[in-house]
Amino acid sequence: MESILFEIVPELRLHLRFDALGVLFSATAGILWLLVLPGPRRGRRYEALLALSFVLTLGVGTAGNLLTLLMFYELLSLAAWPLIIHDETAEALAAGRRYLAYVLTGAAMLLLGLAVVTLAAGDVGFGTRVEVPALGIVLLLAGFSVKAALLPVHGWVPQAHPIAPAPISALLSGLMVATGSFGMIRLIQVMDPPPLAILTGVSALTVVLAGVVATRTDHLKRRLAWSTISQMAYVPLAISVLDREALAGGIVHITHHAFMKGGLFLCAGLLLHHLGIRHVSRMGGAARRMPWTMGAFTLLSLGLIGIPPLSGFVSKWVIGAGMAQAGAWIPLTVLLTGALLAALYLMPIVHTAWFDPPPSEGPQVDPPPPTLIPVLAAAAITIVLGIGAALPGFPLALARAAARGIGG
Amino acid sequence: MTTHWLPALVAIPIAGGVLVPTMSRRWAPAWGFGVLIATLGVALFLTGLLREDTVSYAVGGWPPPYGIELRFDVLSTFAVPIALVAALAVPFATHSNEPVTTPEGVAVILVGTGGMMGFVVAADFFTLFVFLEVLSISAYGMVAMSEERGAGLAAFRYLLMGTVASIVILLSVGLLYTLTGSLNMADVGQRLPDGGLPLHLAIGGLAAGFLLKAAVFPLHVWLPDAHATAPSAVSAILSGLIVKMGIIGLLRTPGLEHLHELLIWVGAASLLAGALFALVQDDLKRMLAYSTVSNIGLVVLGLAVDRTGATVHILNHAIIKASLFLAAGAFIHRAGSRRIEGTGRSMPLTTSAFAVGGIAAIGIPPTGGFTGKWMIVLGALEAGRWGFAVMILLGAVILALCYARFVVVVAFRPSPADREGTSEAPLVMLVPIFVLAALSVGVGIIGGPFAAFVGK
Amino acid sequence: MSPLTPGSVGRFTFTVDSVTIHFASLTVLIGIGVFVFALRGMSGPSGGGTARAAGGGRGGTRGRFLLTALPTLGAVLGVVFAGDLLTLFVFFEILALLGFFLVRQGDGARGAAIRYFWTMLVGGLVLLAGILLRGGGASGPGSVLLLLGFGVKAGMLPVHGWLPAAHSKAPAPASALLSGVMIKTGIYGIFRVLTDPATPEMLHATVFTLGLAGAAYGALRALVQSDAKRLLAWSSVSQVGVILTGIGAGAWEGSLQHVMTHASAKAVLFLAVGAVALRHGTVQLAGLGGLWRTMPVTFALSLFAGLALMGFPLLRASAGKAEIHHALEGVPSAEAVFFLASAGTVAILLKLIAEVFLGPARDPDPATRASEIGGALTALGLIIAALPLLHPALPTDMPYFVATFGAGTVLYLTWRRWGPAWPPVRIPSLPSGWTVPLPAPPGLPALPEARLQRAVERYAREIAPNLALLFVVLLAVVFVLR
Repeated sequence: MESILFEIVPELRLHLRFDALGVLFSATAGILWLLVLPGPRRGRRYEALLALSFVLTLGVGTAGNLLTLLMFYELLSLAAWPLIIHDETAEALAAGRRYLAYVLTGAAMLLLGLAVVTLAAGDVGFGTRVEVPALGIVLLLAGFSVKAALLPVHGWVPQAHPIAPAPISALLSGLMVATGSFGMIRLIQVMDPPPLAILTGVSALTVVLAGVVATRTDHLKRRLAWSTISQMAYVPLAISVLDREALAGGIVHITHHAFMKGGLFLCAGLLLHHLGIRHVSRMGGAARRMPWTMGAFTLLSLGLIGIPPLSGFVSKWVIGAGMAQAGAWIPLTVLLTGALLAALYLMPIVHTAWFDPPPSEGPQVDPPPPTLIPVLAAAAITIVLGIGAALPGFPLALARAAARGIGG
Repeated sequence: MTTHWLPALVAIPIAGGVLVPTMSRRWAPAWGFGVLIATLGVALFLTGLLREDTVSYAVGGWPPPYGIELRFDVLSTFAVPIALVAALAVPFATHSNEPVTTPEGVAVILVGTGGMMGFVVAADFFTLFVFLEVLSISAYGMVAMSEERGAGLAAFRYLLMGTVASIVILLSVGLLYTLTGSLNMADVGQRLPDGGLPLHLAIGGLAAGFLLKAAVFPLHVWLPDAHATAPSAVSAILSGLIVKMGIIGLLRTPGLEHLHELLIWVGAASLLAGALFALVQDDLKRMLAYSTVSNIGLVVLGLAVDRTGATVHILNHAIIKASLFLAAGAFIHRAGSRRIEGTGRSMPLTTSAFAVGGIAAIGIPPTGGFTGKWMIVLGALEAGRWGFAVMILLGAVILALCYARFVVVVAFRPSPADREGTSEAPLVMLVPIFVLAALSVGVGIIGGPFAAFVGK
Repeated sequence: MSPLTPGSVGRFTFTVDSVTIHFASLTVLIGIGVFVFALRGMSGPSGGGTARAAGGGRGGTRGRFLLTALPTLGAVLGVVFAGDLLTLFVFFEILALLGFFLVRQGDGARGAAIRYFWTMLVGGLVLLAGILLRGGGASGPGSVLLLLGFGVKAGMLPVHGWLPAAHSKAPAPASALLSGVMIKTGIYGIFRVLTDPATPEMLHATVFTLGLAGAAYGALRALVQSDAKRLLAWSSVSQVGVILTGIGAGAWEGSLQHVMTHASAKAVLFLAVGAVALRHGTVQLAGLGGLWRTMPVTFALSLFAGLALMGFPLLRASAGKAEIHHALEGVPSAEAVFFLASAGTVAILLKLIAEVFLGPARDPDPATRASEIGGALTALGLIIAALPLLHPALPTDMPYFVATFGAGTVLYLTWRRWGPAWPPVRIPSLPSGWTVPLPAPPGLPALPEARLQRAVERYAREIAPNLALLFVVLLAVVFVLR
């Protein structure tokens, strides 16, 4: 389904399109937004921008040509910025500056790439395939990789994610980073990419190095942020294999990761709010104080590591099966190493929280249902998406349909 | 096609301005507003006619090239933003009791508007020069009216530089006349010799004068002081409209293609220098002024690679920058001084409009700032000038950081304790700000047809 | 459908054949025995002093144990009934996770549990890689990785390190489940891989060699243990080696028989040690003795299970070991090693039974006398677990049994006479300095969980070289094969 709207510059129109990929992304956004809505009210500015970001994310999902995609993508970058610095501390402002510098540079690269592509091929709608100079694709890929937090340009993630309010961290990690990966998928939908060895190398390095750094990070939310960098690099890794099944896995990983990481960040927010815990080393006995919260945290962690039958396993399996089919052994090894690293940085948290003695005893302080339910819902989604992966209409089916539409 | 509405476009504001000093202080702004709305109606009417054909009017019935000719062509559509911004600036100023709302102030604005109208519709170089003087002198007056400290000095500096520019332009016009024997633009364009020192001198002189009027780096030194010390409503007129006259002059200059190489470098330098200067400003209006320098640089660069894009951009930027200056004026009005930290907390609507204006100024689609910038980038790429395309985007990134910085200052810094009870800007300020902000997005959404219209 | 089809995500398929039934029935039977034992052998919600001694740990261990053990059994059944590798893997990973909680319930089991977890995780990833490779058409390397992944779970030789630690630290019923049932899932996997025609022939020899080495090595390590549960755990390494030897040598029926024998016997022995600990508060051999008087049923069943494990010819259960032995005939070096392993097994079991049940009686801990009523139920649990052993048979291979029994007795007596006087025996393990310690990236804080980090490092030091070595060996095998 397509709808072509205004011509905003000569020959380029606003163009909306509803296909499997977009539906999956938009639906993910919708549900994740529902999960982050409950919780303490944070004022007019916050609510308004939260709603605006939602609309813009839907715009990213439903964009029908490259220009529309970039437009919503960049507006989303800007709309998220006041949310990141919502707490107004000096740290938050510094993180916001860094975030802006990164995403705007990325946006500039994207615009330049769009200009190159437009000169060569005109209006690039997502229903067609076009021939464009390699430079254009490289610029676009580089621009998207800023948001996708690939290694040399990941710097905004570990600063911005921990500093934002918990729901915003959940959205940033769940969807903001994913918009970069989403853009890359849209790219290879319309143009034949140059050899992607560099993308493979970069994303492989990202998976491994970010994972290693995560194991060495004590700050809980920062560790989760590094984990996002590591985990979301699966998607470009899967893209770079150029296999349809791997691509489907990459697409479905966006959705699965969104709920898992979103849930984890919400848990981290609850821990901070109710127990004042910011650091992993302070988490001893946290599970005894907040058993439900930490139960969800544990389940989501296991999902992220890829313990079957949770959703993280499904995406890893599908990506891995595609890589094995394509004979891409190195990416496959990296994929599994990423899972091992995920265990290395997540399991100590879980273990400490459940089995280590708490620094001080206290009553159970699980949050009230309105804030607890989203976390439990994220955990439930992780289970359902894992067990029911093959059901029609579930993310995997949509992702496979999308990958079929993209070809390979 | 010919119509008497064309001279009326110039005559209405000037006549209206001349009549203002006869009125009471109370009615002057209303009168000014009415006159400017009427002018806006005429400008819109003429723009509508333009869809069929260029409108031409021979003053006194003397046919060109002998008589004075007024022509309303695509470039003259700038009359619409002129009338609009000026019309909105007047009511905006009333609430803060700025000196521009005195009968003298309104008169200066009206006469200046008339001068700009004459400038954009002039079809021969001497008329062009005359109206340039009319609008420049009005502009000096507008700056001098400010009660800010240093306004007098800024105005004097502006006057000096402006006069130098005027003299250079006048000399060049004379030189052109001796070269071609005509002052009518169409004639001059046809009779231009292929080369030679005199031609280069003439064109170079014209370009230098107009570049100075347009405040291109390094000839921009008069601008920040003048724009920053002027009352905010005036700043909107200065930054949005009057510096653009220099660009329109450049667009009218024949044989500009001889200077493309110069323009592209000067433009790029101005683009980056303006952005960098803007980055280090601590005062919102100074930042906006330097942002104007940067945008003018973009347009000058665009003159060399894509004239249509440059034209589109001056039209859009006029609206965008006016909305930003008006929003800044609202902040300053509520803060009571230039220290505007935290004023945005109690002024969410103004802050939103400021943010929208900032986004448009950076050039994010689908705002007006994007259309022209995009066309210029495409033009640069098509011409094989990669580096300049990169510079344009780099400049946009730096400007984005500038605007973000002031969003932080306005909305994220704590407001001083003695200013707790501030409230949203009054309606008479909000409406102009929002009209302009909405327009700056609106012209972007219809950017394609708009550019096609301008490129005709 | 072969259980070795890769499967597709989100679709769980199950299959039933005779092998499946074999593994499933022994799982269920032993599970019932363990549960019956645990009803009395662990403390309920109110807690009790006796439970501590049984390795029960904190109060309310019984509920927690049953809560973990029941899904564990389910997961084992899932692995065994899985109709494709993906389904198998799903249950395999769930099993690994549940195993962590089983082990973690023991006193002082923190380190062992963490080590268990990492080993299982890496094993699971290797298995996953193997499944994916097989699915991607690379059958050879895929099979190698599958073997390695299953081998980790089974406690195959170079990757066995987690097993003695985890089995000895877990509560006794959990140990019975681990040794009796859980490691059998690894053996099940190896069995499936090696019986698959797509598997390279060379891997049979590899499994055979590793199994034989494990059989001897485990027996020797078991002999020098002074902790009854540790002794049994090392014996498990040895017995897994025996089974793998059989699978590698092609004695499939014998191997399956021995799987059941070992599962049942080892469960009985672990439960027996648990029952002893319940009454006497210790599992150190030095603190026990003369228990045949007070615990006659336990003594009889232990003896019976021990005999079955030694290969006593009058039991049907011993037929498996005999068949494995027959498969080795004609390879003298293999026969010699196997004989050593068999003799070692005899010596181990003699040592355990003699030290615990015979000899001068030691005074039990007075505080634990109260739990006499529980005795019947715990004994019932032992009996249920021992049921598969009760099938008599005509004697076969008697001379071999006599020879191994004699050699084993000599071995035990030698240890008894001089063993305690020996300097502590350190059978050389792989050098531990092989891994280059990773320096922390500059500017990053060290891992805060110092103890956990130590555990991880220990893991890296001890397991990783072994894994790497095995990798190299197996890869070499694959390349030679091609």
